[in-house]
Amino acid sequence: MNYKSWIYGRWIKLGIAALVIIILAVSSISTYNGLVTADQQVQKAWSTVESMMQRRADVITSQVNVVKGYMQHEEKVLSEIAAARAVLYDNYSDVNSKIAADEKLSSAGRQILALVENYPELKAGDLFENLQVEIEGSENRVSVARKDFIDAVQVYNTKVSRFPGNIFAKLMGFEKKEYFKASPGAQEAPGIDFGS
Amino acid sequence: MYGIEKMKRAAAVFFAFMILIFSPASGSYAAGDYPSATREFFVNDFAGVLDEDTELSIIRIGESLEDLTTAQVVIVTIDSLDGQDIDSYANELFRRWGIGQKGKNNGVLILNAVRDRMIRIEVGYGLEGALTDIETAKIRKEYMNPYLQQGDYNGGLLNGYIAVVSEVAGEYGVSMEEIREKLPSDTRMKYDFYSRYRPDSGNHRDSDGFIPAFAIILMFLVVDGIFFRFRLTYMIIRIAFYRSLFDGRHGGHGGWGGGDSGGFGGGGWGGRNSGGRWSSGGRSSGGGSFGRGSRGGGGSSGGGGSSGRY
Repeated sequence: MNYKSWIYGRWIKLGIAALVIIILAVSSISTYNGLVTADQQVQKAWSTVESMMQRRADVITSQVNVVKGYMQHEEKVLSEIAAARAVLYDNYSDVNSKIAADEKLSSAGRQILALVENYPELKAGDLFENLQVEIEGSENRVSVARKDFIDAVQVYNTKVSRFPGNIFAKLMGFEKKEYFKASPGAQEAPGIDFGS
Repeated sequence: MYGIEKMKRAAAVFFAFMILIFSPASGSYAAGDYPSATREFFVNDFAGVLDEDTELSIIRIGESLEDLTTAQVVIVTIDSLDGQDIDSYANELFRRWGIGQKGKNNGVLILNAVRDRMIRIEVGYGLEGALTDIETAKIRKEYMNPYLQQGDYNGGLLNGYIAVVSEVAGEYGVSMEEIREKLPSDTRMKYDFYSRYRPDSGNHRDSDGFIPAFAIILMFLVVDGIFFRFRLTYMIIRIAFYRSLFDGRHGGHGGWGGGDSGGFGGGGWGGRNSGGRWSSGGRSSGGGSFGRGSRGGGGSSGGGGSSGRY
């Protein structure tokens, strides 16, 4: 009787220990996979941001070529656009310089539109409307991609800092990621200010 | 007494622990107040600016397009954006509803914020080639704005809808005629009217062509009056009169044949034709019910399209 109850107690203890180990193993695997997935989502979102920034660079460059005849006195804007585009297409340039280049392009786009505003013969035609639509469209795509990126970083950071995840994150070397560092100018609603 | 307190505390800690482990790890998102799609899906007139006839037409055209191409074109009207940016609102709504098929992302959302007087055409990733930003801006300005500016929401939204549908259909190699074939006859009349009434092809040319034609007739009358004492005009009128008599007799005949689109049906081959169309009409409209109930296919959009005031 005494022996039997000892045996039972031992099995129960072993069973509980096994159960705890299984639960821990399963939860750690799923936590780890969750972290990896979230990390990949962030990377994917960032690559979309990059390609949308490049798209904007292309749009602005091609639009500049259309109005180039009117922009001979705007050497500075032209060279800025070319330099910013080069940064965006350079695989070795870092995130912050890409963001800075994108902001330059954004303001260059506004400058082009403001400039076209001064030429009634340009403004009257389809050209100006198309220019406006193209630049606004590229602006909007960048802002959507940026929002997706911020969302992905938020999901990832939550996983890294919440309870079961934070242990594995520390063990496996997952670190919190930085949000999009937008300059004050970049937070304006996408759209072009014609007031200036 | 003490033991029970301790157990309670242990239980509380345990539950807190479990909640921590099993609660979903997603961040807290601002839910926002985005409406959910109506059963009709292709038309969601939250602002209440469309009449039932227009809605039915939109639903039927939308269903035909989806049947032929799997693409989804959806109209949403809302009362006001409440200060939100229409571009991001449209993008969020597009994704929540999953307009277009998953993987293909072949959806288009036409959003009209009535009190803001704003239109956005948001295009899914998969259709950005067919509907470029410039194309959507053109559809807004040339096909929708002329109606909307006069407060004709039924005309503006339906005309814009058909313009978008024709672009999407073109991308899939589907002709407007194929979509027309699937429509019941009462919708066809509207479809024909708005398909023809493209301000950039019809309206413009009308206003440009009217004055020269009028001038030529006037000149002809003047020349005829001076040199021929209106004999030419008299001849033309007589010819036209006889022709109309002749046509009239023919017209009677044609009228009988034309019964295939009306309710009369006529005899012989006309009956077969009309019978076929009736059955196809009945099938696609769900036997007279108000749409068949559609849902989004899980498509997404990356902010393609354009927006603007009207």
